[in-house]
Amino acid sequence: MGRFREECMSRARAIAAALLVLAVAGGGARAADLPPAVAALLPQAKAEGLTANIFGISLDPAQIAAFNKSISAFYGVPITLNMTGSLHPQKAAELVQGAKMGAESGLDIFWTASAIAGTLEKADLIAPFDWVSAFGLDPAFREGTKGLRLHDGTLAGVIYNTQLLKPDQAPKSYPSIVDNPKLKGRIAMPRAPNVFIFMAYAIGDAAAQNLVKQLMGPQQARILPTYPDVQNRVMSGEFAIGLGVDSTMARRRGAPVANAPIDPVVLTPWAAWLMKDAKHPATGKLFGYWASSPQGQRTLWDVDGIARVTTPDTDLAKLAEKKKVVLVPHDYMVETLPKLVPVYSRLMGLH
Amino acid sequence: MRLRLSGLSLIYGLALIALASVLVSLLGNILASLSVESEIGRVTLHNFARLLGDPDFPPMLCRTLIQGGGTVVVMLFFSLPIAWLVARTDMRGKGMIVALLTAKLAIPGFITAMAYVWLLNPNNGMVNALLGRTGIDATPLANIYGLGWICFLQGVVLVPACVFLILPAFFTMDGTLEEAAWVSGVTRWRTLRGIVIPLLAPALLAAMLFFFVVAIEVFDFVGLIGMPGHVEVLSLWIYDATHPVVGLPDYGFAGAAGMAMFALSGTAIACYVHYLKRARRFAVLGGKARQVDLLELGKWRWAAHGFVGTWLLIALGLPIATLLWTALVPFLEPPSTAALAHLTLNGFVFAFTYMGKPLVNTLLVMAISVLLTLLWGASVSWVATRSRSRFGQWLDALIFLSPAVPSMVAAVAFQMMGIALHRWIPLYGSIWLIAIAMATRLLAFGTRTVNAAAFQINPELDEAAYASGVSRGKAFRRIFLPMVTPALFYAAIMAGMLSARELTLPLMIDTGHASLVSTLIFNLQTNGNVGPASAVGLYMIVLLLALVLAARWLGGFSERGITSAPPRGEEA
Repeated sequence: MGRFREECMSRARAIAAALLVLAVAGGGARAADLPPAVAALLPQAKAEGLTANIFGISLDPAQIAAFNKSISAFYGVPITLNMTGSLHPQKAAELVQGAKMGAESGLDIFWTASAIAGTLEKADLIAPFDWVSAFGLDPAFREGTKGLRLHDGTLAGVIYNTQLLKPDQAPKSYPSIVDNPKLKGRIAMPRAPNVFIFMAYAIGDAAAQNLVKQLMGPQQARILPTYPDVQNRVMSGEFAIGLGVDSTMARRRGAPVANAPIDPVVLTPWAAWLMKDAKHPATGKLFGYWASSPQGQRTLWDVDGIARVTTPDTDLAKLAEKKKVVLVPHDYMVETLPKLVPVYSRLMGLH
Repeated sequence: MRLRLSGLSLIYGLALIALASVLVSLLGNILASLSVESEIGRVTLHNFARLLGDPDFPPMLCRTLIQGGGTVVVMLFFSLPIAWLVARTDMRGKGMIVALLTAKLAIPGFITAMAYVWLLNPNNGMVNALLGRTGIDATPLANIYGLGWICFLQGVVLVPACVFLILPAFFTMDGTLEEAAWVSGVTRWRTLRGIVIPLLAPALLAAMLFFFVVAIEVFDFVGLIGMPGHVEVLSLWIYDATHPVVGLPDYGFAGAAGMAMFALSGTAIACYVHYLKRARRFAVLGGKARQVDLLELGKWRWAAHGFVGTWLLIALGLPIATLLWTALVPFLEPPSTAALAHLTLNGFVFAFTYMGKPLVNTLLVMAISVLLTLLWGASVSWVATRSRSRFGQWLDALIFLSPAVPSMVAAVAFQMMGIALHRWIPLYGSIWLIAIAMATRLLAFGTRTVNAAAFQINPELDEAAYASGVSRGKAFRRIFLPMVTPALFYAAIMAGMLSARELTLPLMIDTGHASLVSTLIFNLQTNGNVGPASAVGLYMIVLLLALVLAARWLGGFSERGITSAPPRGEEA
């Protein structure tokens, strides 16, 4: 029971910290500090019912409540975010086919990586809204021409089990994953060739292909259905190394895992994309601005362990310290990635 | 005359609606197979060329056949004796056995798979650890990652469904033939082999074919065990096609793979339909039929309990223990003395606070699914077994074929139906559409279960009723329905349990307003909240078990079928 109380306290402390951040943000008084373009959205958002439908990340009800509290405090009005997440390619396919048949998307914001957003853009489902120009944001937050970069994904990340490997045994580069023969049969990776294609952007196609060949050959890496499967089975000690995942949330729960200090740090930006048929465009834009702000970034990190790599005081920022940071660009995800998927799928023995 | 027409119209009307729903998924699969990736309607034959031209296709197909066949063998090894023990012997605790069979239905397959990965994985599986066969240089003794384990575990988890499918046939079987054999000095074993099994042949054959199709379609074990072991089977190819990492899902290729499953299933169903043309010879339950006295197990009682106990341990004990353990630990870690220090009830507390709305939605979906499955199932079975029309045979065959449609493709078909109708009927994204899709997926099980019982009811009962001026609608209500009530009860249990845990359909169809318990579990797991996800699963098992026990009590059901029903033949 002591541990239960401790965990409850820990959760309560996290929420209190988030609320403190909100209080510092100024609550309702904050509205006066907003850029005029953002402040002008508030009356429209009120007319929309201060609700936005966001598809993207899977959150539990407590996390959604924390998001709602944070954004409401930020703008000083009660905003409700209906956050849903499921399978992105399938959702994109549904929206593309639905649009052809005259159905509305029912979404205001699609929060995803460029690889999926590219599909929506081709189907003309994304509103031509330049977030950076409209709100005067840092140009580094621009994703493609219509996206607002909210967090940097870790699909090219590598984690290790700290009970099986000491920190000095953790891989420090991608090639070093396959250098250690003791890791034979001890490496797990998702059934997702894109993980290696993102690595290829940073280390080159030949090196990445060689990595896959070594993993599938001498290292006898195991392929698992999903990213959470990889994370769970590294946590449980079945595997020493997991590819394509991040350890932040698992570590917060006390799991014996850590991010391998791979250099370069390869990150895949995820952005907010405003849907062309959004019923709550103003509230959707308010969501984007908040999530991109320091206060929003802190909430994203505290609640779900995600943020941009430039957000200070995060484990991601610490991981990137003194390392080369590579952000996989929009064009590479939209143009090159689809061409390389068949190549890497074949190397992984997929169909 | 008016009543007669309206009764028949209602039966055929329900059967036609059921057929229309099944056609959504069947035609959806055919249309998808002829489409370019996700662009439904852009016609191509390229998907078939890709599928059949793949050099890995023949070996993959062989493995798939082994997967289906092996699963069915394991399933029958356990389910046939269990059904016989429950229906025909004086074994004690039958009510508890049926309740535990029901509980198993509520446990998602991936939990069972996960439990055995912990036990038998080559790296740190507990069996290998106990034998000192883990570590960097050790050669493991047990390795779960193989086709044999997929067959074994799939077979074990399909036992409750199979028992529920064949149990009604055991109950409705006329016992006088068995007794006549015993009186004539025929041994019990020869009676079982020469009378009981042949009489049950239609039900057994239906179960074998149905679960063969189910076995090659399910993904839980293939994903968690087959994928790491590089066991390529058809469901894995479908998974790859429908889960791209970039761009749109390739529903075209998935549809073509679904057509390969159609071909396998269609061949099996054609044999079944041919066999059923002789089904009337299995109809023995006439106006004078009665049940046989229960066989006394005597000294074999312990062996019987040991057999059932073994299955319970494999299928229920270990997965429940796994669920309980994962609900109590803050992150996924195998049981150990060190891990005991981490135990927490947080998972149960958080799960309780999260479940409200998803639980209400789930109960609603369950209720609609069960209702539709029963209404459609009873009507279709009557048309298939009583109308003696070619339409009835086609109807039955098409519904039998429907489980061959991959879940993901079926989900997309219903999603597209919702979108197409959205201007007139607000089904798109609603729990109604989820429930209709679930009922359609479960209909084949409902009709298999009811048909198995219906084939044993001699048409002389209907003919006697018609000759006495009773309308077909009234005969349906007063003769057919009471006779197949045990089958309907088990079909309802199955429909309720499976709709409560189904994930693919709600995940694909929900547009954010129809969250169910299964999607809640998915979201929790995706976030690494394994503890609350497992706790939600345990709450659901307890709740569903309570619902089933309440239904059994309220409906007057026991392990003998219906205790409150009148003696057989009285209605006629």
